[in-house]
Amino acid sequence: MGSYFNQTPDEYIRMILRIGQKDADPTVKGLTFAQLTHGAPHLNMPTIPYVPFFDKKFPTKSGKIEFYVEMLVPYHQEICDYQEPIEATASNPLFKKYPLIFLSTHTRFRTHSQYTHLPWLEEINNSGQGFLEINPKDAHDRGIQDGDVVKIFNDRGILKVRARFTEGIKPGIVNCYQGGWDTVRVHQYIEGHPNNLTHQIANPAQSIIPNFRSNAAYYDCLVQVQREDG
Amino acid sequence: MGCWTCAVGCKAINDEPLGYWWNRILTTEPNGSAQVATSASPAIDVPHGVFPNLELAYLPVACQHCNNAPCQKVCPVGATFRREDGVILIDYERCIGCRYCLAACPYGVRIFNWGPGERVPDFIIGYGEDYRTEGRLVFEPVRPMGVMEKCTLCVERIDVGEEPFCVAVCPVGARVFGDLNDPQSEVSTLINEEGASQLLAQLGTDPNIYYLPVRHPDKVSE
Amino acid sequence: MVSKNVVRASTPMVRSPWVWGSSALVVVGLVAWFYELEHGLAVTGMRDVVSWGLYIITFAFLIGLAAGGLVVSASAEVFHIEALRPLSRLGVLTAAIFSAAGGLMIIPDLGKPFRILNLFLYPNWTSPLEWDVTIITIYFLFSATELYYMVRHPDHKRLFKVLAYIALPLAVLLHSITAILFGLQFARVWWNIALLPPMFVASAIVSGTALIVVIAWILQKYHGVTIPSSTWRWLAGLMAVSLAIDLFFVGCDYVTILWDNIPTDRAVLALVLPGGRFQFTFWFEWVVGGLIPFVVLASSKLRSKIGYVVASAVLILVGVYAFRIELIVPGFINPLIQLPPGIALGTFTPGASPFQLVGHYSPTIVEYLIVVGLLCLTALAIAWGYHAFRVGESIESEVPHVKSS
Repeated sequence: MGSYFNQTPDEYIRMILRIGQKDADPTVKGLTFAQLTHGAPHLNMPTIPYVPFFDKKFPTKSGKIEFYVEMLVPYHQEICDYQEPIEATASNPLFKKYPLIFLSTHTRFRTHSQYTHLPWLEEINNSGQGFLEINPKDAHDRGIQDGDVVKIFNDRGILKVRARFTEGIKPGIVNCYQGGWDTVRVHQYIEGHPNNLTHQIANPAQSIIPNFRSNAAYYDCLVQVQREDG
Repeated sequence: MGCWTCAVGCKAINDEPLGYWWNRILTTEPNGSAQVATSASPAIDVPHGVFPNLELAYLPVACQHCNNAPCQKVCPVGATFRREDGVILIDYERCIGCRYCLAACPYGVRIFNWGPGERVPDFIIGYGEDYRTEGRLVFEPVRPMGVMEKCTLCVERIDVGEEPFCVAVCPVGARVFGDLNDPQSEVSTLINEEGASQLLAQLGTDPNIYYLPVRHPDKVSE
Repeated sequence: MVSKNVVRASTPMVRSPWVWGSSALVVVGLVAWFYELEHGLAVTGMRDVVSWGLYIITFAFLIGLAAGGLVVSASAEVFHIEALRPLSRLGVLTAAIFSAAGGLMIIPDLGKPFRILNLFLYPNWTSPLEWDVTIITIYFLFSATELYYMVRHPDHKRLFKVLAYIALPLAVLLHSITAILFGLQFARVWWNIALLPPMFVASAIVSGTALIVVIAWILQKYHGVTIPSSTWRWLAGLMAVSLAIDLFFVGCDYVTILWDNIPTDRAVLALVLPGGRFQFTFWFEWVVGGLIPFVVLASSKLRSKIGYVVASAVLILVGVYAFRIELIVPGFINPLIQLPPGIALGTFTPGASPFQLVGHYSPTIVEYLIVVGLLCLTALAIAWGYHAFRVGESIESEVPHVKSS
C-alpha cells in the first residue's frame, strides 16, 4: 500500500480540497487547515436541511405539480394508468413458449455490480456464484432438483446457474440476482448472464422527459427453464 | 434482518481468515422454533412454510457464554475458562488443540485454527494487539495455528467500557449488551418485559446470551 | 493391518524383510507427521463439523485392543481358566504396547502436540479426557510393571494373583472411561447414551481376544510355539460370547432409536443403516465382523479348526474397527443446530462454500500414512517385546500345567 500512497492522510486532504488555495473547494473556501482541524469552524454548507421543492418551484410547463401531463398526450400516457407489460403477460403469444416470468432482483450482498467479488461477501453469498430462485412446484414440473444446473433461456439468450428451491417465490416466477460479472477473468454465473435474457425496449415517453435517464424494464421478461444434464 | 453486518464486523475486528465465521446469521423460523432446516433448500434466506404462508427469521449465533459451559468442563488442561463476569475465554498459551470442546459444544460456535489461514487483506486489521486478562493470553492479532478459538465477546473492548463490536456495528440496534446482574440494566429490563429465551435451553447450559421474541412475525397470506 | 505385518515375524528378526518394510513405513509416517506439524491440521480431512477422524477412530480401537489383552491375561487367574494361562504374558505385553500406541495416536491429532505436558501440569478433573489420559498412563505403567515382574520373578504366584484382581477392573475401567469421553457429550446425540461404556467394554474384550488369537496363530505357524487346543477352544468361546454381547448392546441402541421418533436420533441412525451414507459400517459390523464370525465360532465343528478361528478373529477386528468409525464420524455429521448456512469450516477452498450444514469427512493421505506408520511401529514393538520378554518361553512353560477341560 505504502508504495502507492506515500503521503499522510492530512496531506491528501489538503491536496484534494486544495485548502487555503485560490481554487479551494467551495465548502472550505476561505478557511485554513488549522481552522479546520482545531476548534469548530463552519464549513461553507447550507444551514437548513435539504427538502425537495421547499421553494415550491416545479420545473414543469405549468409551474405546478402535474397529474395530467400535456406533453405525454402523443404517447397516451398523460395520466398514470395501467398498461400491459410489453412481454411478461399471459396474453402474450410468447407466453406459451416461455411461461415463466424472469426477475433479476438486487441482493444485499452487492450494489449492482460493485463489491461483487469481495471474498468475505462471496463467502456469505453462495461463494459469489449466482443461483436461480424457483418455486419447488415449477421445478418439479420440469424434473429439476434443488442444486441442479439449469438453463434459463428465451429467444434473446441463455443463462446457466444452479437451481435453488424456495417457497419465497410465487409459482410462475423465477429470479436470479443481478449484478454478477461475466468477464474474461471473473465468472459469477456458470454460463451467460441475466441481462442476456432481458430486453432493452424503453418506454418511448421517457425520452422527452428532462433529466430522466432512459431505462428498460428488466422484470418484463419471459423465459423457460430446463434441467441441464452434467 | 439478516444483513450480516455483525458477522462481517466480527471478522474485521478479529482479523478472521477466509472460512472463519465466529459469528453467523442463521436462517430460521420466528422465535427459534426450528433447530433443523425444513425449508425448500438448505440455504440462507429461504423461508420456511409453503407459498404463500411463509415464515422467516434470522438467528445470529456466536458463543453463548454459558454459565454451565460444556466446553469449559471438558477442556483437559483448563485452557477454556470462565471469567468472573461470565465471559468464556480460551487461553491461547495453554490450549493443546485436542478439539474436545468442539465435540462438546452444542451450538457449533467454536472454530479451530486448522492451518495458517488465508487472510484477506493479508496485513493486520482489527484490534491488532495481544490481549491478556487475568494474566492469560486471550487474543492475538493473527489467528494462532493449532489452537481453538471463538467469540471473545470482545473482552478487549468491554474491559474499557465499549460494547462488543457486533453490538456497536448493528445498523438497527438489534443487539443489546449489558449487565445481567443489574436488574435495572437495559438487557435485564428487555429480558423481563419481553420474555427472552436461551438457545437450546433444555440442555441446561444456561447461556448468557438471550434472544428476544420476534414481536411482529409478519404473516403473509392471501 | 497389525496382523499382516507380524505374519512374517520369523526368528532372525533384524534380517526379516517385514521388519525393514515396517520400519520404512514408520519413517514415512514420521515424515507425514512432520509435514502435518509444518502445515497444521488443515492437511487432514477433519474440519469444524467433523472435527475428529481417523486418528481418534484408531485411538479408540487401539485402546480397546489394550483393554482386551489384560482381560484375557487376568481372566486366567481370576476365573481359574487354566487354558488361558499360557497366554498370560502375551496378554500383558499387548496391553502395555497397545495402550502406549493408543496414547501415541492422540499426539498427531493435537494442534499443539508439544504442549502435551499441559495435561499433567494443569489437569482439569471435570474433563473425561483428563481421566482418560490418567487411566491410560496408569494402565500402561501397570502392564509394564507386571510384565517386568513376569520376566524377573516368574514364580511369584501370589503377586500375579493380586495383580490379576487389580488388572480386570482396570481393563474394564480403561475402556469405560474411553467410552465416557464420548458418552457424556450431550451435544452429540449419537454418543450420549448410558449404554456406551458396556458397549465399549464388550467390543474391547472381543477385539482384544481376536488380536491375541491372531498373534498366537502367527507364533504357532512361524515360531514353532505350540498352543494347546484347549486354549484355542477357550479363545474361540470367549470371542463368540463377547461378540454376541457386543452386538446385543449395539442392537439395543438401534431398537431404542427405531421405536422413538426423535428426529435428531433418527437422522444419525439413518446414516448407518442400509441405504445410509455410512452403511458400509453396518455391513462390516453386523455381517462381515458379526454374523459370519459368530456362526463360525458358535459351530463346534468349525470352531475346532484353527484356520476358521483365526479368520473369524481377523473379521472381528475389521468389524470392531467399523464400529469405531460408525460411532465417531456419524456422531458429528448432524450438528444440533442445523440451520443454513451451517458451520464455518475454518479453512478456505477456492470456489467452495466455507460452510457445511451436513458434515463431510474423508481422511487424507497424510492421515493414512501416519496411522499406518503407527500401526507398523506397534507391530515392531510387539515383535521386539516378544523377544525381549521371552513370551515364547512363557507359553511353553505354562503348557504342561494345562489340564484338558
